[in-house]
Amino acid sequence: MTRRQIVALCVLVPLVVIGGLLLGRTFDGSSGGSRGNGIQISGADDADEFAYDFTIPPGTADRIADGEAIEIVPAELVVHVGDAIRIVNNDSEDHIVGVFFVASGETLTQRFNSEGVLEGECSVHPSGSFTLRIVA
Amino acid sequence: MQRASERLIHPAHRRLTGRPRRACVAACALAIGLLAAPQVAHADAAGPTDYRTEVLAVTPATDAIGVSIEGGDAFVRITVAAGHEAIVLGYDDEPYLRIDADGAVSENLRSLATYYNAQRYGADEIPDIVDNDAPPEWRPVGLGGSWAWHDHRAHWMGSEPPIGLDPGESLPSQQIPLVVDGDPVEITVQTTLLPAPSRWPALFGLLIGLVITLFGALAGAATRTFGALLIAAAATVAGVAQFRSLPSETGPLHTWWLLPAIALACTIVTILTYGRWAMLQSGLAALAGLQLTLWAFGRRATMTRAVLPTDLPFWLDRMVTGAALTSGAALTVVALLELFRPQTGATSDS
Repeated sequence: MTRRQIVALCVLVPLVVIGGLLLGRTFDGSSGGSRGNGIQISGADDADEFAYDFTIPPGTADRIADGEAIEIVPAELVVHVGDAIRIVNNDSEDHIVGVFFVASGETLTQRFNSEGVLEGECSVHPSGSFTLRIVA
Repeated sequence: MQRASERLIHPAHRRLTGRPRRACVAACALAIGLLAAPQVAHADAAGPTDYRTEVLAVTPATDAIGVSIEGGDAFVRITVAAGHEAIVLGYDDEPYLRIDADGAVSENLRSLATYYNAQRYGADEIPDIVDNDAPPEWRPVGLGGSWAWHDHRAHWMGSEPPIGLDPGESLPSQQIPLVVDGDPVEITVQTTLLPAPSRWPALFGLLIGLVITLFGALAGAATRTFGALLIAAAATVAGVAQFRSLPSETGPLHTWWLLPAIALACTIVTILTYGRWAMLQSGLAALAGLQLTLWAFGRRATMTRAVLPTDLPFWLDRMVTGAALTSGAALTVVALLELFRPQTGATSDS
């Protein structure tokens, strides 16, 4: 190999690597409105109509700490593509509802734009888990 | 016209025989074996993460146990003082892990947690023997009075952050129940999603790799090998630091330091045999570059995640990874082309 070829390769290969990282998700950090499993989601306006509306009342965390079985959401919820849900947290503690985090005093609204399943732990259901199925 | 098979072969490109050939074959076999061998480990080793879990409280406070978090959010580690006994309870409050007064550590074979905790995101295969209500069947797993495990109450179980959780915000705190010397004790932990780290150390590292490689290409094979040696040495230090930063029961992987160590050895042998056996040198350079590339590519998440499982400064780890990735890839390509390209005379860059 000539030196010119070697130099060209020594520039080209690292640039390809860096370009690949920049184009790929290594340096992206977010995937827009899509979860890793391909489910398209977006926020919803408070004025929208919600297929399901949940409210976590004040004192919920204290009741859970006292051993009470709290069931504010079902263990499994089925919604349709295009539906939106709202979760209002009026408790003094933050809560996890499946893949949703709702800080104390905050409201989370979410619209689902494609089919799929979102599941995770849940602090407001006795089973400790919440599964959301989005169907056509 | 001269046929390819009749071309004059420069003495430096003769076929390898004897010790160099055996060394080359042994190095290749070792490298291939390392790549092919399954990773045997006690646990799912800690990796880069965007979360940090902290121990908020041990209630009631006791000197009998010490609690720490290893690998950002990956493992909870408990150390029990000699003469005390602690039993960690599983997800159904069943006995899961026991550390005896003499430091012996045992797992309950009937507990779901014993199997579920084998993986960072929870193991799927749960054997039929599991029955959280059954009397414990203890299996010794360690000594020394301390143990670390993937406690899923101490980290977020999704591969993506929960929707609605912004960087800097914490998940609701969780409790890990124990029984220490017969009395109930609770460890309270909380996991926080951290902001993304600066990209500059990784980008700077990628550029350093490019510059070192380019400088080596301009200056000649000896400089190129020396540049690879520097990066392989830095990568080996980073790998050893990562390996040593985690307790053995967390399953740190030998490949963390062994891949760059092989690259380092290859570059040293290349320097020691400089001027002789050009094919061997190209082969070793290709091997060194491949090891560096695989090492860096396998840990590319270190460049973008907030918390790294290492005692090294994170910026340094990110920089070394970036440099190893670009220089390793370039070295591999150049060396392989040199190795397989028909040669008709002396090398142009030596």
